[in-house]
Amino acid sequence: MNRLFFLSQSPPRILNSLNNPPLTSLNLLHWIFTHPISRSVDYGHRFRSGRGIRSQHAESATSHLVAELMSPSQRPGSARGENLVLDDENVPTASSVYVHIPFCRRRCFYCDFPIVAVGERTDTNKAHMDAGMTDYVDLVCREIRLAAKVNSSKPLQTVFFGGGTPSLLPPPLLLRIIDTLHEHFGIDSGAEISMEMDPGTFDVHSLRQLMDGGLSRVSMGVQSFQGALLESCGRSHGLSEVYEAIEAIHASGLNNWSLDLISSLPHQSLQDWEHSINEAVKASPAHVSVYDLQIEEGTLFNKWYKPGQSPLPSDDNAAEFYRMASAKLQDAGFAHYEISNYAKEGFQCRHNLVYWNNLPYFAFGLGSTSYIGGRRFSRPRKFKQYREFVEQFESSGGVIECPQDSTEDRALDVIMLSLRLARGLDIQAFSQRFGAGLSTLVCKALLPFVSSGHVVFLNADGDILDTEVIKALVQDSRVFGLSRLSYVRLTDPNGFLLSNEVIASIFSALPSGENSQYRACLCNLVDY
Amino acid sequence: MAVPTIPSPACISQSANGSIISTRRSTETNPRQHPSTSYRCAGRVVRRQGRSAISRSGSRYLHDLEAGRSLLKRVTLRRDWDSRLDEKDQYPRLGARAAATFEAKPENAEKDYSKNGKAANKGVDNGKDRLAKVPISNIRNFSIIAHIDHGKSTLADKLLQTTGTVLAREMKEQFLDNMDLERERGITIKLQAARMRYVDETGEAYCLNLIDTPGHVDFSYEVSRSLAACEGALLVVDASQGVEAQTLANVYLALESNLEIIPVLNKIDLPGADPERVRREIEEIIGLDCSEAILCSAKEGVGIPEILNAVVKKIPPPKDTAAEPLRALIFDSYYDSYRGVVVYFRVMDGRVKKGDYVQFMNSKTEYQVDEVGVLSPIQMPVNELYAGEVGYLSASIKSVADARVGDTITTVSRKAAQALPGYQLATPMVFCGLFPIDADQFVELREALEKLQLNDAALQFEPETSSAMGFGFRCGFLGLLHMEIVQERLEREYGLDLITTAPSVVYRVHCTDGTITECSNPSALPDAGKRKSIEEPYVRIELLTPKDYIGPLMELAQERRGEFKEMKFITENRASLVYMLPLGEMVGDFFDQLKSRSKGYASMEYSVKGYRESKLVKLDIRINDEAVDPLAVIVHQDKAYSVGRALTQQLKKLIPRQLFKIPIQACIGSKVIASENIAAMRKDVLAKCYGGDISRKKKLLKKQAEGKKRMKSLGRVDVPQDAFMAILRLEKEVV
Repeated sequence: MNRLFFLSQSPPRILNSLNNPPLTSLNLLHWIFTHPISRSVDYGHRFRSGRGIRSQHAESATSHLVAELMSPSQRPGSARGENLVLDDENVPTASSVYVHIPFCRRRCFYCDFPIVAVGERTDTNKAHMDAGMTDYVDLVCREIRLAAKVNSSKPLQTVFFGGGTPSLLPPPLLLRIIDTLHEHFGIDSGAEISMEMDPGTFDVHSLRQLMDGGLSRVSMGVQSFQGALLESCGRSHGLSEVYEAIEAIHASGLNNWSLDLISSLPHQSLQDWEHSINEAVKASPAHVSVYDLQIEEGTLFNKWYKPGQSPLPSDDNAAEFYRMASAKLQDAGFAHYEISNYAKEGFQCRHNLVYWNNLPYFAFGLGSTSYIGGRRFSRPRKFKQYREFVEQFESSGGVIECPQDSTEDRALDVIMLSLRLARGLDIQAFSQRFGAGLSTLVCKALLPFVSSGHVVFLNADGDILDTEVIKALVQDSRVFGLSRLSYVRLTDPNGFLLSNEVIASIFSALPSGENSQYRACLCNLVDY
Repeated sequence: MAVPTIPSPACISQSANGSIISTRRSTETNPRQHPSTSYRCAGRVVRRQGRSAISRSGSRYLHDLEAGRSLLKRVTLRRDWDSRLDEKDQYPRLGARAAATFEAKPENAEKDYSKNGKAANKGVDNGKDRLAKVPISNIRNFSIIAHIDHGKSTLADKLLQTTGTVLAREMKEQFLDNMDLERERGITIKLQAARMRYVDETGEAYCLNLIDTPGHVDFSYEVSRSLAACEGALLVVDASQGVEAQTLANVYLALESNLEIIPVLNKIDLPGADPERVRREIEEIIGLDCSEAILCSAKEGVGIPEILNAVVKKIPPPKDTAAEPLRALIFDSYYDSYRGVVVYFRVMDGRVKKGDYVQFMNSKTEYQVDEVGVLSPIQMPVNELYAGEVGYLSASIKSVADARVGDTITTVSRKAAQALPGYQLATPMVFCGLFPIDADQFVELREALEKLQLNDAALQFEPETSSAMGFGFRCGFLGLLHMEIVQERLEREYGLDLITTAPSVVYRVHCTDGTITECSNPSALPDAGKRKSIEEPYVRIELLTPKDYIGPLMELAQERRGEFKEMKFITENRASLVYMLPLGEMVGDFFDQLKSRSKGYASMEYSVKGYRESKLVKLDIRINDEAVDPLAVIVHQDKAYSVGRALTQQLKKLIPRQLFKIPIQACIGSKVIASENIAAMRKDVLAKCYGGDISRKKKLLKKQAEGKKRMKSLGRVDVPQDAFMAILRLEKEVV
């Protein structure tokens, strides 16, 4: 029936995307998420027919999308009840790009990212350093060109430069990448082009230069407002550079910027943390990311410290840090829209939302992971191997050998990613995609967390449901019960704090193992 | 933990033509180091990896396990046979005589040989004639009694070598074939008897049957049957160590059977040897005349001819009752998957031959004999065995339960009027639950237990279910060693991962309605309201210790509710302590404590003396307000508080934080006597996804989910498997 509905419509076409407001593109993301069968979509048409007049202004447009993402009740009813099955052929086309810029002045003690430490830029090593970076950018551009050629694509909605320290790259080199993307993929006029920047690596001039080239968002790694803590985690900048960088951003006139902090650093006290948050709020960014320090294998911190043991804060203290950040930032008008992210209205990171909505994206550069055509592929983390990869990629004419995710994996991805969001998991969309049976299993696995206050279920009106009601609905053997559940999400902050526990509990409750078994199970469950 | 008990390759030596002789590292081992001691409290989970490497030597391992206390000789065949053979084969080559073994050589040829004066070769050469019949008056049946590490195996080894029972490179090929076959079948071979031929100075040929005995008290019944099959025994005492508790227990058994006892002081070559002191000890403690005690060093081969001569001279021959109806005493049996049960026996009266219809008088089963033979020490078929002789028979017997140790074999056609005395059914004294960690292994566990039971009539089991551990079995054992052996074999030979609950004894519960129920499972104990009283089994325990450790050992016995009976100094420096002790107090780590508090010097022996009423209570552990059955224990009222406190405190450390605050309580009935709380889990969050690379994060979550699937639930609380194992171990230590 639904397929017929699609057939009866004229095939969707891409309209001139440049004429469309940025909101459209975000709507598209959402629409694609709920209509996974469509390969390419006339989103302009949908936009015009479905909604009224939209502001051309990027901010309000984004905020509208955000509002839609956050409040399930406003979702169009037409998306319900459509029993769409996503098959391997019909994955939405990617319109997001991640570019990894691996250069750093030095490696921070907690970092296990694929980076290349280049040291301080001096007159003597300048030429050499530039040559190395140019070389790398050349490689990335080669990869971009070929990837654009072999993949169906459409104008990019989000571009994210991560690192490493992308701001170490001389602006002309970075602009070259943007130009290459523009030339080969096309970049929507309202696209979000983000970049990670470190204090001490840019000034108002370089920032202006980048903004002129299309940069629309900055994510600045401040990490802490204590000089001693910055030093103790091996940051290459001090506190004064942090304030200078904030000044520079304000001077540049960019207001869509994020300030990133790390909590649970060694020797960090609750007072330190409170001060950092206060200072972060004072800097008036549009977005704040708060990452709880993770001790990764192979890092110096891993050698020196043990999680939960002094000088690292105890688990209870680390939880306290998280609570404080959540409370104080929300007081300051930031919405806690993802486990580690807070944003003023309309300033959520659109690129990161692509990850969390499990949508496809391209990735270029050392150690980066792309998700195209249901295939997650991680590039080599070493420079030499990455060069070999690009050469092989070219000589093979753009073939990447990589298995496609199984249905099981996709279901797990959706669960794991959407529960990171304040909006939570869209139970109806999940049922449509993976079957009511699997949905029921997920809901059942979550029941214990409802009574413990870590998870809430919402009905279509956005009301939080009572525990007993949910139990009755989930245990209702007919699909009817499930249909009254709309969203399930983690509570803030208690649920977010135990997200791993919750997600792992769902994983363990789901059937696993051979794909075929999994499907058989799905079939059995679906056949009520 | 480290497993100190995996023996070095030298642990098992192989004698040339078929005997498997254990020569544990006895001579090198310091008696203080009891390898099994540290092992005992180890968890029962043995990682699968590495098991394949040691499974074949599982019994070897076991063997060493026993070596800590005493023996049961079950040695599996090993691959490094050949090298062992080469090392051991130090005897003169006497030509290819393998075939000749089965033919009696004319007596005069032998005499000629001895006349040639080649005394060194004489005994060895006799070995090939060991199947030859001798008059009953020239048969000597004896066993060796010794404490562990006093050199029993080395002595047995030397006796076999000296008499030529075990020798010869030329036997190797045949032997190996034989063994390969058996190896494929996976049979364990026991050295339970060895027939030897000995020709004394006068040229008179004797047939000597050495019947081995298991030494541990768990198997004292088997020991008594082995001894009942003999007319004499060699009492081997380490000339430096002196008499130990186990020696005593077995000597008393031998005296009860009216055996002629020949004292042998072994290891006189050691610098610390003090034969005079030990001689006095034997005289004082046992009351044996030691004026003619033989000084020997089995390792050096000193005194071996003297021992053989003493056996011939002092031990009386069996009575000549070959004409009477058959009565043969079974002293061991094992299951062979091809031939059925193979029975080791001593013919007391009459004769038995292949093709006879025989009846096992106590189990009332009848079979036709397929094969009769002697053990020398490999099985060698013969036509007939008559009174006084020792041998084996197979008759396609389905289960060892049909031919239990102690039963009497008679012929159907000419039945004996009365069975031999002393037959007993084995009664399990110690119980524990065995559960597969992986629920899928339940069927395998059942099959493994069934197989073990074929070979071990004393092993009992019945299905048990537990909310925490799923499906498993409640198993009954003769004693602690027996329990450990069975657990070890299940894990090593059958590749099972097991959880064992704390061992428990059988309580006798007098109910208010006048009935008496037996209960070995604390969770099955009748309610307090229905109980009038509880009786528990008591043992008489005798500790032999150097006087320095008397204090610590008395303390230990007091702690374990021991009732002091007597103390006497057996020599200036050594004392014997006798206590009455509840068996329940001994099933935990008593032996480990004994060894550690006496620095390894004390030895002990116990015997069950019946039931006594005690003020026992059932201590329930409630986690999150729900009683957890596998953690329930029966303890003495006076100890309930300390046990409860210790358990709750340890559980608090072991149980990971949960979503809620979890109370842990120890209760007697509804009365809470100890309580702890586990705080709620606060934080478990992965803050960042790396540049869209979610696969690493997903891997972590999947791993976490995998761990959850294997969680064990204690009441309403889920705990990871390793914590669960630790909790179960805890009980064995705390209680």
